[in-house]
Amino acid sequence: MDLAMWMDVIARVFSLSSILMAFLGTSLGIVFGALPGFTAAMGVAVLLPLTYGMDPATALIMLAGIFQGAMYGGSISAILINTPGTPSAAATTLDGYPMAKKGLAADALRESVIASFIGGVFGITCLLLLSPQLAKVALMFGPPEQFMLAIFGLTVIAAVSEESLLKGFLSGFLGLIIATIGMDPLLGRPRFTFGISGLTDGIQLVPAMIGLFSIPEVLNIVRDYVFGVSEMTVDVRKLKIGFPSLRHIWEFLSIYVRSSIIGVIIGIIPGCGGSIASFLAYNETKRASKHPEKFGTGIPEGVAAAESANNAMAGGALIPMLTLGVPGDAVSAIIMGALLLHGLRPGGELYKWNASIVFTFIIGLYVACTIMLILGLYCVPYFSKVLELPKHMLAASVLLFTVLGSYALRNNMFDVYVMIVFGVIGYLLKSFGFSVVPMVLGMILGPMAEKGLNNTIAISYGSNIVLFVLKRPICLVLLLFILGSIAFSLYRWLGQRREAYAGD
Amino acid sequence: MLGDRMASCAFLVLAGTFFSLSYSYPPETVEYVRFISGVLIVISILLFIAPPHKLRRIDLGIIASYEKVLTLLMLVAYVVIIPRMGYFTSSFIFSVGYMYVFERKGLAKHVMVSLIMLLVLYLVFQNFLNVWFPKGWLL
Repeated sequence: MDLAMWMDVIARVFSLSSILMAFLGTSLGIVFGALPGFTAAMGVAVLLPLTYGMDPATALIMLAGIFQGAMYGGSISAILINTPGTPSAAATTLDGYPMAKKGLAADALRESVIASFIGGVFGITCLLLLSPQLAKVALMFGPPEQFMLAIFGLTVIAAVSEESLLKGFLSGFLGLIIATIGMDPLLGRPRFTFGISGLTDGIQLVPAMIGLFSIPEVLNIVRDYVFGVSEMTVDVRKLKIGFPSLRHIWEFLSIYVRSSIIGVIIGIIPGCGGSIASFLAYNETKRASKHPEKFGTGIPEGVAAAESANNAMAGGALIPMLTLGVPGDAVSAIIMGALLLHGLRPGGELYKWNASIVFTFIIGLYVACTIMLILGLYCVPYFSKVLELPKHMLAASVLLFTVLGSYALRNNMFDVYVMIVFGVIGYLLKSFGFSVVPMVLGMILGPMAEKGLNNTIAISYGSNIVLFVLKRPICLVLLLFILGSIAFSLYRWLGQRREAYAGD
Repeated sequence: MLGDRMASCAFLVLAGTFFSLSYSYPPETVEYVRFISGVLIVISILLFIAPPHKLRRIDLGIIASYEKVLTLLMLVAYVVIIPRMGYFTSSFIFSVGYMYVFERKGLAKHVMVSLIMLLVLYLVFQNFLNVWFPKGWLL
């Protein structure tokens, strides 16, 4: 990293267009995050088309803003209407809404934005410091390591699947099998295209992700709200938030730091997600507190723990995505799709050849975080207005955007059909209790796994492939990780079965 | 209804289809696919034989409720008419129609909201981002 590169990064990030895009992205992210039923992943997926015509650095800065904004925005509806805008903000409702009911909505919102800012900055700093080191390790990866890494990514994702281990694996392997549709990498011939010419290039990741993350949410708000308007218990026009005292920040510093560390660690583990991070941090803060009985009654410590963890998680989730090409959560999977769209393949090579774009993105995250802080402290009454928007208008606009985003990718109607089909698949999977995140990860890791396996077979020159792989130290380490995650999965699965039979 | 068993059957059919189709391609290009579909078959069977009371029960009435099916049908109809009527005309019809179906009051408001939304999309995408949309009979 030389000085010229950093000058280039600073010039890009602090140009007027970048600041404007970061501002626009953060504002839109907060709006999407605040809307109940709309997840941060959906916000990034739906707003991704706005970046199609931009240069990669500006596009990434805007996405950084959407990401940061959406992670924070979820807390606004969690506090004001007891409905988390995003799943990550679920733990914020535990103390945020009781605070609002006590007439302390402004305090809760202030705590939420300060904790989000500190957590966000902590996560980005970890990303800035750790990712270049991990990228150096990633540069040592050959085909066998890439294959093992893809398998490891999948086993971890399935192992931490919230509802059921088997469903996590099924969803992940479904993604792997979908990724085999298209041109086969060995002979370059169409495979599993069922005579449909549009499938020759394979399933396009971005339209599939727009469908998977947007359509199920729209269909759920259709049913859940049957198009009413959310009830607000607070008069948002009278809310005055403002900056907290430094003494308050000092008193809460241990909560912010502890929760941020938890958030980053959870973020790095693929598939865990913000809701796990925020609940874990909430419980740890409660355990460490001198008055744990007050948690859940409306105290700022609860809001601080949940919000700093889920925003720190965002930075952590980007570490494996940028360095290894293994996204830590749904949002980083979509950002990875955006990187691929702009011709940037995550991994060690990205840091070697496109370091200035990567660091523009990371520094852009700091800028987005700062914009989020300013907007959160001074503009929440305006953002809260979106909670009063009729849901049928929101649903119609999101559907328009999903169609537009899928079409605009390649000016191809086939991508719109792909988006709808994947929307229906995503909705059915969710309805049957499957998470779509392992599936997306499977679709991303599939080509890497297949290419890695084919190339490993080729470079092993007919020798025993298992012995060939095991002679490589990184492969051995990855194998240990894979065995560890499978052992953890089996332990969980057996526990589930034991519980089930105990119930009989 | 046992949703998990329905899902495991669907996964079995899908994995079986890919596994059997793999025999119509050169073996070296589908070894990986056979491995993946084989694992998928095994996991689907494991889900099928899980204890019944641990299996998720689903209500098809909720999954395929009137509002959801209608939303999907309108979306499909919208996508079908885009190549014929053009993006903006069909989007306008879809947007107004969708809002009107779910909220019978305030047709004028729906028209206004749709027009403003499409104007913003037009300005942002066609003028600012240079992304062009299918043209049809009208626009």
